[in-house]
Order: sequence, then structure tokens, then C-alpha cells
Amino acid sequence: MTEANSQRLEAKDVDIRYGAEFVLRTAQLSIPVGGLHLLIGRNGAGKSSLLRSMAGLQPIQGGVIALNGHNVHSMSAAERAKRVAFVASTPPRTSQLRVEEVLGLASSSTARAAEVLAMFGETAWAQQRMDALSDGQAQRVMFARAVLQETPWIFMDEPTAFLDVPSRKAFWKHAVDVAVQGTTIVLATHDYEHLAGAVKLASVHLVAAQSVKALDPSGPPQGWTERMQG
Amino acid sequence: MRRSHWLLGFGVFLTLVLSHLIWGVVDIAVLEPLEGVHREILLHVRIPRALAAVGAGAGLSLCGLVLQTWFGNPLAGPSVLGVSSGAGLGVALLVLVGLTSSWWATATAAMAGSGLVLVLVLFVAHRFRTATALLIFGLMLNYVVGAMITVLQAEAQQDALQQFVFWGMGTFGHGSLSTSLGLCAAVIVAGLVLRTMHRDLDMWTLGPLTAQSMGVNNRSLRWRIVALAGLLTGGITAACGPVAFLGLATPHVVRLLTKERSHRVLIPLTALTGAILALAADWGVKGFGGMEQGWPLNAVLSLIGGPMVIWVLISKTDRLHD
Repeated sequence: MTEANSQRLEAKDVDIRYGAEFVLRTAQLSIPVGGLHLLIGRNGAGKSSLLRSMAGLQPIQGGVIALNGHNVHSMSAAERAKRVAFVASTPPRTSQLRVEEVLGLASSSTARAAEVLAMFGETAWAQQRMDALSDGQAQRVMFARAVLQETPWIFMDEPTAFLDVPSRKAFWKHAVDVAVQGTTIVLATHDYEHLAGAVKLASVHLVAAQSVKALDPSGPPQGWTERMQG
Repeated sequence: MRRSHWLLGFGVFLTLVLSHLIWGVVDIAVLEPLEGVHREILLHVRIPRALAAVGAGAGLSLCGLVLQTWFGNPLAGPSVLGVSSGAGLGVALLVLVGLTSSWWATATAAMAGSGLVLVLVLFVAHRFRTATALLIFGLMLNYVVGAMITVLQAEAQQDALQQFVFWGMGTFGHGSLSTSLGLCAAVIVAGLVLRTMHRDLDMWTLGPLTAQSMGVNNRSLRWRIVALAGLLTGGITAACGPVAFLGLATPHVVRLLTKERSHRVLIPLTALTGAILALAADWGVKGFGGMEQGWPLNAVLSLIGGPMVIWVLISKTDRLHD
């Protein structure tokens, strides 16, 4: 791995399949450090599988995925947790931990946890139990937890899928704030039309037909939709 | 949890232990010099029985807690992996076929049965992608092993069948001092090992993907939980027979007693509460029965545990649907 491509996420010849059915075949993807990056595509195209694989949370059947020059599938879970944080599409519904306890799992600094909670405007929730929060509130807590993990990369899998419009807007504002502070955010989303109009995107990648194609991040999202339809 | 609450819990625990040592068919003044029959009763009956109750209560309750956390299912318990049934099959093969009736042989058969089932679970567990699939596997294993025991019972002699039925009722009163001490030591070691896993267990409640992304080695965690729960349940079943409901019910009692949900607190509190419940149940057995053998332990535990499970089903139906 050369110095030039060490500060980026690099997926080379990636195969992802379930049984005999390929979701991605010899897919290529390159994401530089910094900013907000989107993975878009239709339902079942393989966005979530690719995102989980890039975070090292799902094995791949061929190729290699390197994060800042390190193979994500060769790292231990503890090593990976220092490089990548992940926000799943479904917030936890059965956990009865208090919000401050969840944040405490990601950071031993209570001051830093309080700071991030304040940044998300959620200080009132610190004593709330997770199963008492709405899906939108729980998802924001999970994002705050990911930020507290203090990793250079945060991957999010359709994090606004369960949120209403005001909650989505608030969520994306936090995402932009975190990206501005230097964390690289990669997310799979169907919410790209709202995002494309509201924030500057570093890159957009279309997952379709077992491959990944880079799109013009400054282009109109309607154009992306047309590409998606084929 | 305030320190005063812990002190209260330990006070109740010590009171129950002392009550077991003092009261029975004959009353013993434990603070005076002991000699003769009283000393023998204390060393060979009362202390082993109290220790067995403490070890089994704490151990099964810890198994229940950790399995409910792992499966994210409030109805998970130590018997779901089929380990209790495996122990039962080992005993059934020995007793119902009429090979021997010695306590040590019975205990060995129970350990062998639970060990075999544990190895089977360990062998196939990695094939299941979800915790629920493993839970269903355990349930099916229980059915199959239960059917095998039923066939053995149908073919058994009357006296052998009676002996097996008594073993199946469960008791804390069959073990020797060394067996009960060994049981308690094993439970303490298991509890300390579990305590080192408290952060992983907390992260697991946030979902497998999130836990993994936070640095939890999910596969290793699963093996550790299966091994701990399987070995503890097997060992306790060997020593006390298949003890019902404690593993399932105690974590729910703990959740009623405290708002704490971190495993850092839940693990020691569940062990303490399990020991207290087991001692209380056994005290009830002896008190109500009026003699050392008393009422069957599992009858008392089922009378308490059955309504508890119904309460869980009614109050947490929404969660179970999830």
C-alpha cells in the first residue's frame, strides 16, 4: 500500500455473495479521508452488505478492503474499534441501559460524554433508559456513542430510516457537524435528495448491478435516480 | 445500588444461612461448642445442604441472566440449551436400566449427559447465524431428549422408576460437604469470570453489529457464554437434580428490586438474589414439610416460578413479539 492511497478506504475486486448469489462481483471503491460520503442504490442492491464489509463487520468472499492501508478483515475487533465506528440501521429496542451508561461504554470520560450529548442537544436524556426512547431518539444516542468512540471513520447504515422529517434534518445537521470536525462519515441512505440539496458531499457512489460506480457529488440527485433506474 | 442495600441483602443472606444451620428436625446451638450428633448433623447435613442451595441458586441464576442477555429474550434460561435434559438422560440411562443406584454414579452420569449435550451444542452453535436459532435448537433438543427419557421410563422397573422420579424432583440435600464446597467454588470462579465480561455483555444489549463495532469479539463471547452456562448447569444438575425456575425467575426478581441494568451490578446482585431465593425455597420446603426431606424442592419452586413466567409473558408480550 503506497502513501498516496494509505489515507483512504480502498475496496479492490470485492466479492460479496450469499450462497451462490452474488450481491457484488469484483467491485471497486475508493473513498478519501474527510467529509461526508454517500452510498446510494435501490433496495437489495447491496449497500448495507458493502457498508458492513467496509467496517469489517461482515466477511467478504473475494478481494480486499483496506482502511488507511490496513486490511479491515485482518484486524482484531478491538483494533478495528479504534479505527471505525458503526451505526446500524435499527436502533436497539431491548437494551435497558441508561443513555449515560451507553455513552460510558464508548468513552471513559464522563466530561467528553456530556459534551457530545450537549452537542446533540440531548442532555435531558442522560438518565433515560434506552427502551424508553423513541427510535429517533435512540438512533441519535447511537450516533453520539459512535462519535464518542473517537474513530477517524464512522459508517452509518440508513440511520434515518425510522426517523420523521424534523428528526432527519436534525440528524443530518449533526452528521455535518461531526464531519466538519474531521471525522470521515460514510453512509448508506435513501435520503440523498434532501442531503444533496443541503450539504456539500465529498463523494457519492451508486451500488447497482453487482458493482459500484462513482457519481458526480455536485450533480443533481434526480440524475442519480435516473442512473439507479438503469 | 446504595451500600445500605447491599448490606441489607447480605444480612438477609446470612440470616437465611444461619437459620438453615440452626433449625431442622433437631435445633442446634451453632455458637456453642459442638459435639456428638449435633456436630455430625451440622457437618454432614446442614452445611452441605446450605452450601448446595447457595451454589445452585447463585449459579443457575447467573446462567439465567447471561442467557437472557445473550438471546435478548426474557424467557431464556439454563435449560434452553438442553443441558439439564442431557443430565436427566444420563441419570435415566443409569437408574432406569438398573445399572447402579449409588449417588456418585448418578452424579457422574448426570455430568456425562450434560457434557455430551454441551459438546453437541458447541459443535453446532457456529452454524446458527442468530441467537434465536440456537434457542430453538435447544428447545428441540429438550423435546428429543425428553422423549428418550419417556421411553426409558416406560420400560423401567417400578423401584428404578421411583428412584428416578425422586431425583427429578430436585434437592439441595443429597451432596456431601466436599461436593457442595466444590460446587460453591466453581460458581465463585464462574461469577468472577462473568464479572470480567460485564462491558461486553452491556455492549451486546445494543445489538450484535454495534457490539462488534465497539470491539466485542462476538464469536468468543458466544463460546464463553455457552461454555460457562453449560458447565454450570451440568454441574449443578449433577449435584442437585434438575432444579426448576431459579435460573429463569431470579433475573426478573432482580429487575424488580433495582433499576440498575449494567451487568457490573446485575452479575453480583443476581448471584446474591439467587442464593437468597434458593435458601428461602429450601427453608420453606423444610418448614412446611416439617422434616429434613420435606416437600419436593421443584414443587415449591414451580409454585413460585410458574406464576412468575406467566407474569413475564403478560407484561412483556410486546418485547417477545420483537
